Amino acid sequence: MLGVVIFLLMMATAFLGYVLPWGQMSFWGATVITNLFSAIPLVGESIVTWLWGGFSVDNPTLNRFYSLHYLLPFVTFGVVFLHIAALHVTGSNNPLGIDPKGPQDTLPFHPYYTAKDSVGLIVYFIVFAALVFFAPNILGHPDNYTPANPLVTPPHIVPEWYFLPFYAILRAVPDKLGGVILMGGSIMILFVLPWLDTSPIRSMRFRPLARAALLLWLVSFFVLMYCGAKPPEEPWVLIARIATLYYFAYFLVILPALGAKERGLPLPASISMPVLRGGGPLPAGAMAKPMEKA
Amino acid sequence: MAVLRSRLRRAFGVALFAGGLVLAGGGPALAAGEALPPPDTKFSFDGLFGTFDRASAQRGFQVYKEVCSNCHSMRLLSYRNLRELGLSDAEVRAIAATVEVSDGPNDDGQMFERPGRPSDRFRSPFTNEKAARAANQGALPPDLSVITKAREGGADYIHALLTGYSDPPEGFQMMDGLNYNKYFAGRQIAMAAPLAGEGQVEFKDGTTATVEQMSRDVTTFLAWAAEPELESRKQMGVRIILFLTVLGGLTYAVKRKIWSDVH
Ligand code: HEC
Ligand code: HEM
Repeated sequence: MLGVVIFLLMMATAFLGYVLPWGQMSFWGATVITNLFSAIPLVGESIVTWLWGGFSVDNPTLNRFYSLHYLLPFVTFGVVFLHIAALHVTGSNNPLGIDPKGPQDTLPFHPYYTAKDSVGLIVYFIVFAALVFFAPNILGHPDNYTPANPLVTPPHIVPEWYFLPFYAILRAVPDKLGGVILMGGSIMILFVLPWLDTSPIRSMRFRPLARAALLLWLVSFFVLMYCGAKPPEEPWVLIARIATLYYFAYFLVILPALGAKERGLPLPASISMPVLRGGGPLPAGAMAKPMEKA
Repeated sequence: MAVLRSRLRRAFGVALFAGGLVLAGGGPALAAGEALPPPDTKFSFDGLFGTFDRASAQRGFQVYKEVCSNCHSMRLLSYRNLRELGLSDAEVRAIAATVEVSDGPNDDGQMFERPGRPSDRFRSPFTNEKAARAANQGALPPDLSVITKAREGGADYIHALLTGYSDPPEGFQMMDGLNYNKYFAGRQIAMAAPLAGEGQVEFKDGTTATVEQMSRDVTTFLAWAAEPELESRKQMGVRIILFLTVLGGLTYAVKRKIWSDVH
């Protein structure tokens, strides 16, 4: 759940940061998103005025968004710390979803995972460097190279790519308040996920039906991302609605139902059994002090 | 590159929040005619190792100075930046001195005019937006400082736009004072063809000033203006990716070694 808080903080920080270059998309994106709060009955309008620090997105908005943009990463940092502390209460999960039964089932984080994660990190750096050095503008919008102008609305206002699925959910609902609720709900629902998934089996590997449903959920997520980039017209609206329906049905109907009904495959006896094909010796490095688990 | 970019862009495409958030403004409804996608033009600065063709960019500056600067500002550039294009100090000083800039106030509290210096920003043709619109039948010539980044299609689009003027096809409804251009959104643009005929400028290096040539040169100049860091950025990128690839190989070997007693 702290993870979801980090996710929300990160989204807020990214949104606030995107306002800072003060280009056309910054300005109009800020206008659209802050306007969402006006959907809240009774107090909505007042909240929007309060966020803006005036009666439209203007300099005071930019100032306070910068302060918040500076602040939130440090808040995120604090929550990451709590997140890791919380992890040490329960210990790490594993792809098989079964509890370790002895030292042959676990490895110390260092050097095993530090070495393995370094490889992944460098692969990521290469992709990142390719974007930064050879296509720095590819994920941006050309309109943001035109300075903010309250008098000229860009023909299409789109969020950055990482917000597109949620933007599609927002637009899939014909009612503004309903759209805002579903968009918020699409993330809030992650908070209650532990109670929606009632299955005693922790790993999807041993739940073929739930696994298929999860993969389909991923498909619906990417379909929504695609629809979010399309104009709000048919067939995209209809497709986005179907995908939105499935997005929520997965959490609210399929997971609880499968949790109660699905039998699942037999679980292996221990972690080392399937991974090392029948136990295996204690790795030398495992003699080092294993990661402390409070 | 540009094709990939515009494809992605299209994928990220369009949208306005439907739920009652139609915001103020919006231009006049455009008559039928969607813009054509600009053709992919080969420029010296394309690709992983691309650099700016200095001679072309210098000619492009001449085109900007003699043609475009009558209507378009380039507020983010200073005359001294032209040294990066290979112009000498003396040339830059001479170019800056051809304009009069307003400075002050002096000790008497008066503003005064003086010849430009290399440290001055490019002089804008109009003092404010109203003046620019008044001189252009209500249309605003946009600042060209970062124009290749501010339009979908980038340099390809600018070149296509400058060479894309023609007579409207039979039956196309033109609005008064607009010009037909198949690459412009709505196909009607307030800017009359700025590059109208061969020899409109006289290049010092003897290059024949065809419309195609002038457009290519001025586009190269504008691309340089928008991304002067492009060359060092790409060079650094090649080096960094090489470095990361080697580092990645080493890291992978280390990982294999460390995990070898587990698997
Ligand atoms: C007579 C004045 C004038 C001259 C000279 C002129 N332009 Fe323009 N330009 C305009 C106006 C006015 C617009 C706005 C057009 C519109 O919005 O319909 C414009 C728009 C543009 C645009 C933006 C098109 C878009 O996609 O919005 C570009 C790029 C451009 N001009 C480049 C140039 C270049 C390069 C030159 C020199 C070769 C040049 N212009 C010379 C008046 C001029
Ligand atoms: C979680 C960490 C952060 C995220 C996800 C984030 C995200 C962003 C994004 C998306 C932009 C818009 C960039 C653009 O479109 O040009 C931005 C801009 C900016 N951010 Fe952050 N940011 C983070 C941390 C910070 C911190 C800690 C600071 C300051 C101390 C900061 C200062 C700025 C400034 C000054 C800009 C405007 C300059 C620019 O647009 O390039 N950011 N940020």
